[in-house]
Amino acid sequence: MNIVIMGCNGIAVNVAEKMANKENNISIIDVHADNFLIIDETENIKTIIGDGTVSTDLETVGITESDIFLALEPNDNRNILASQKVKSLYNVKTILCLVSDPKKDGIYRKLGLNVISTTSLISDIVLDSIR
Amino acid sequence: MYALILGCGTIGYNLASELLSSGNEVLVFEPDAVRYSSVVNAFGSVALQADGTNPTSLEKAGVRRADLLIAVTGDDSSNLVGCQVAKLSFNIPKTIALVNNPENETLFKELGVDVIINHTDVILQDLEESIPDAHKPSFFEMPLSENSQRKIFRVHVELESNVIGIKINDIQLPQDTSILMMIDGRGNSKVIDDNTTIDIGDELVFIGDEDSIRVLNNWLTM
Repeated sequence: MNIVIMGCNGIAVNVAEKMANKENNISIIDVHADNFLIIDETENIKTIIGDGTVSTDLETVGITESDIFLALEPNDNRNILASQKVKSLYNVKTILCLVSDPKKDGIYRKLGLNVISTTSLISDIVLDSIR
Repeated sequence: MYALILGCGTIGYNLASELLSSGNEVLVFEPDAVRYSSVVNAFGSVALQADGTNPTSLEKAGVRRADLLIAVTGDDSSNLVGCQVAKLSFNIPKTIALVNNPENETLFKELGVDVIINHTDVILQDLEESIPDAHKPSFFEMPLSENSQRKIFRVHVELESNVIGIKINDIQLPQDTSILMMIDGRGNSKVIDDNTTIDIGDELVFIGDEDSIRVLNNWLTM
């Protein structure tokens, strides 16, 4: 499978390293080159400096041939723009969009976006464990 | 009218100023301290130092009774999300967004933003008006109706245009575009047949959509 990840952070690298093998091609796109420094094994992960909210940059990372797009930048709005753009313009089967603001995630879930909310997930775990 | 403005750069600041002086109620969202103070110092307490894409801040600002939201930050993702949150969560009647990257124009329309201001187009229009260019045919366009994508547009064939002498029927028109009439330099209409050629000073009037205008523009200025 071809997987494009926007935003190079802990989650992105962890997912990328676990998925990187002969069958999967993983590319990470990030505006800031410094963010790539956290990757240990670069052999199986392609890194591209670029803006994942811009279609020419998305095409450079091979979005047109991709099966999965993960928007994992720290900025909710950029993830939302990129995910909606990929959904509208390209034939990508699975799109996941990280939205940290729990007030926003419901809005975009209703719009049919696959939203992951780390804030809600972690809060739920915390609340469960202290009850 | 109660208008929420996202972003207080040059555009946001001047918009606020205009809307306030014409008697409207305005609230500007600006997270940046310097820009925020510039509004407050100039117009009083008509600003919130907050992110206008945040549903909580919007609610605090009384988005439920607002008539429109104008998102004019330098960041397209904030402009889009601001409009979507206001519309989908709070049913605001009208959203207007600035598009900094022209490729986002169609996407924003598709995603429900009511009015889109294309930054690049506005600057280009200004440029075209301020720099007379003999090599380019001059354009004049008129939408058929407020919501129609189709427009009537007029091209004036200038002195050094590359299409002079070419037969009008040899022009490969984009799909759904047709020529309505030709007017010569003296203001008389020209009969369009296989032998009609384009001459200096002619006016060509077409009907078509936005895209076809662009295609024709490229062709005529090649």
